[in-house]
Amino acid sequence: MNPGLRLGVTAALTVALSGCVTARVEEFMQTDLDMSGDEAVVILTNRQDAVIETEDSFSECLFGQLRSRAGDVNIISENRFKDEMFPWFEPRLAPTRAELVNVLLEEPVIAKRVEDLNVRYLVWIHGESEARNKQGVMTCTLSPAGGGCLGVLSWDNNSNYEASIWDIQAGEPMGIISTEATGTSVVPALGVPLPLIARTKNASCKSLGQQLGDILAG
Amino acid sequence: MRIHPQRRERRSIRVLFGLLTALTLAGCAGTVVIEQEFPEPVVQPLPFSAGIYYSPQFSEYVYTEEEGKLTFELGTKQQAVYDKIFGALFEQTIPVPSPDQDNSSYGVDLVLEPVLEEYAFLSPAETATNFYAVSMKYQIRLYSDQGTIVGYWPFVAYGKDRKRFVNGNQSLGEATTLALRDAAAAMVSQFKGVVEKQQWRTPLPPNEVSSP
Repeated sequence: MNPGLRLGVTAALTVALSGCVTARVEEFMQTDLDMSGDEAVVILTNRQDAVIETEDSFSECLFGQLRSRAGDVNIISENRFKDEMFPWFEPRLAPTRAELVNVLLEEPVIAKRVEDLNVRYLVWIHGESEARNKQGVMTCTLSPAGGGCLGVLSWDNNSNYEASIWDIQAGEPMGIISTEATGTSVVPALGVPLPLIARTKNASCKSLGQQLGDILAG
Repeated sequence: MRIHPQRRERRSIRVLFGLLTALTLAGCAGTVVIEQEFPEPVVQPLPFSAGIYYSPQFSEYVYTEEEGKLTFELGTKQQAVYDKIFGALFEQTIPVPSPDQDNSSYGVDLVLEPVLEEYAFLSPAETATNFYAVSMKYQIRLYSDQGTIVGYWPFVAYGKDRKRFVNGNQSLGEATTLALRDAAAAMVSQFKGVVEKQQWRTPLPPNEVSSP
């Protein structure tokens, strides 16, 4: 197959195997960020909510997006920061409001560690993706003569995430960026199941990463 | 070597059934392992010398379930975590052979013994959520340098991790890791205050609980 045709087929398959997704981003910044030198930004996920827990895969995706979109900015990963600050950013102790960072920094050893890491902003990610309204029936059989599936399944995918930016030096909130992505996934099967998955989490990660990356890159 | 098509088909089906069985059983049996190394806590040490005692029940603790189908050698890991916690909390730590003997010759101000009272977990099926949830019920016993018990400090550490499609044991290991990290958070933020007040210098009634 010639390269052009192969590319076309790949693109067509990618479109066919992805459900439609609609994503929107809202930004509310109180003031512009003011980063200087090699000041660092930390991406953290909020683990204190008993109901909602942001997926590790989302924070890893966002970290990757920011790395590629705001390449010059020193971005510290959640795991590294939590280890460096252990155990002050574990769910039991992590500050729940920007003002509480000041209380934490009253402890000299903690303040010294933050200074050594040169951290200026914390970005707290909160939210998750979920599947709702599951509908349809699919029956699969497997026998020595062969196997296959018949039927159709569908469900709605919804991803809601929010990034709160805190200035760790001033102990003040800087703004919030929120993103919502929705879509419907369908898996029709006439022998072989053909999953058409609405990748709302991926869409949210990309849209939030783009917006946040632009803000961080100035 | 040529394989007859019908034999090849049967073999493929056997392999498929084998894989499905392995996937089904993967979350229910086996050994849980904690691979993560724990960082040093960021804390200003207290100006005390603490004797540390780990009982064999603590340092060799193995969680077993369903006639040994699931085993979890937790003792070594939790001792390593407490070594780091105590090492960060006190200016000096000294292992002692027994907590309820005269340990003044070791030059310690107090002796501490962590006790794991209960390790429990809930699977996603039991909680009807997507998470494994772990709780670890600890008690820190405080002894004077003379071997008299002077206080108890109980607390519960929690951890949870999203279930993985294939390996439930990995989620359980991760949830336990987070519970151990939570134990460190409780010790550094709350137990430190108990010791700072030097409560062990005044003997407490055995059942009095010094909770946060």
